[in-house]
Amino acid sequence: MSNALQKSDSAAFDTAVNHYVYTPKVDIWETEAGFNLEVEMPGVDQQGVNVNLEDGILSIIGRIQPKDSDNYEKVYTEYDEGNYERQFQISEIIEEDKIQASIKDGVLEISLPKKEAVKPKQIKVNVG
Amino acid sequence: MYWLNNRFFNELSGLDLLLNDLDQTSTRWRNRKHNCSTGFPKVNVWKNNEAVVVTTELPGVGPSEIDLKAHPDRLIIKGERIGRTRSNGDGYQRSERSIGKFHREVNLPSRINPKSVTAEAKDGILRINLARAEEDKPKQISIKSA
Repeated sequence: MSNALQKSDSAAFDTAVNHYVYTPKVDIWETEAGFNLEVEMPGVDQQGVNVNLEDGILSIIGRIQPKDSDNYEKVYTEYDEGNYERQFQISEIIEEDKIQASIKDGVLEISLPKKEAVKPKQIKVNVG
Repeated sequence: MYWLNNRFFNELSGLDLLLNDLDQTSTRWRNRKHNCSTGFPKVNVWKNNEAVVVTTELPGVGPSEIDLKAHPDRLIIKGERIGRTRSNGDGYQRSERSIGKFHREVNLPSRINPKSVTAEAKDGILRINLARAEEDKPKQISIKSA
């Protein structure tokens, strides 16, 4: 727990890559079929994203491309660039082998289907 | 602390979002002298002798949803992030992303030529390159020896 806090602390500076590490914004919603995540990681492409599940912890890491050093002078800065990290503990009702992820326009989408056993079922009522 | 009671998703570090907010507040303070409207989307502005470059983070917004207008002294970024259509059956556990219309005006640090502006959207980052107006480019002054 304390390790996780350190790793995803938004003020952390990762000296190995010379970037800040940010907590990406996320939407999470549940349907009967499962859970869905949308994670905002502007600047991250498919090569830069890593989604990992271990011991019930879903770890999301996004790395931005190193900047080409064109000789521009900074005039005005509202956002800093950096990598992204966030972790979630997921419950045992997720079918871990069926988790899928894709990334487009800097938004990572992850779908986590529920196990068949926990999905709601319609019981057909017969005439007695 | 709603999420701590949540059965399915237990965030391992909730403090970070607070720190992000604090970070944004300090950024606004740092930039107060520039007299730009603040808000969404956040922009960075760069320049060299030839051009002004504005970059902005618009994750999930496609090129067709962005409307750009360049004036000699300012840039207007407008658009709308529609987001997914939410249905009643969806149980939202986190809703941190912004949706809706945005309108941002950025004062440019140099006069530009509105006819030579290019823009590229990639991985949720929009990069706009605005060529500086000829009359506003810095001139090299040669010094003669007496």
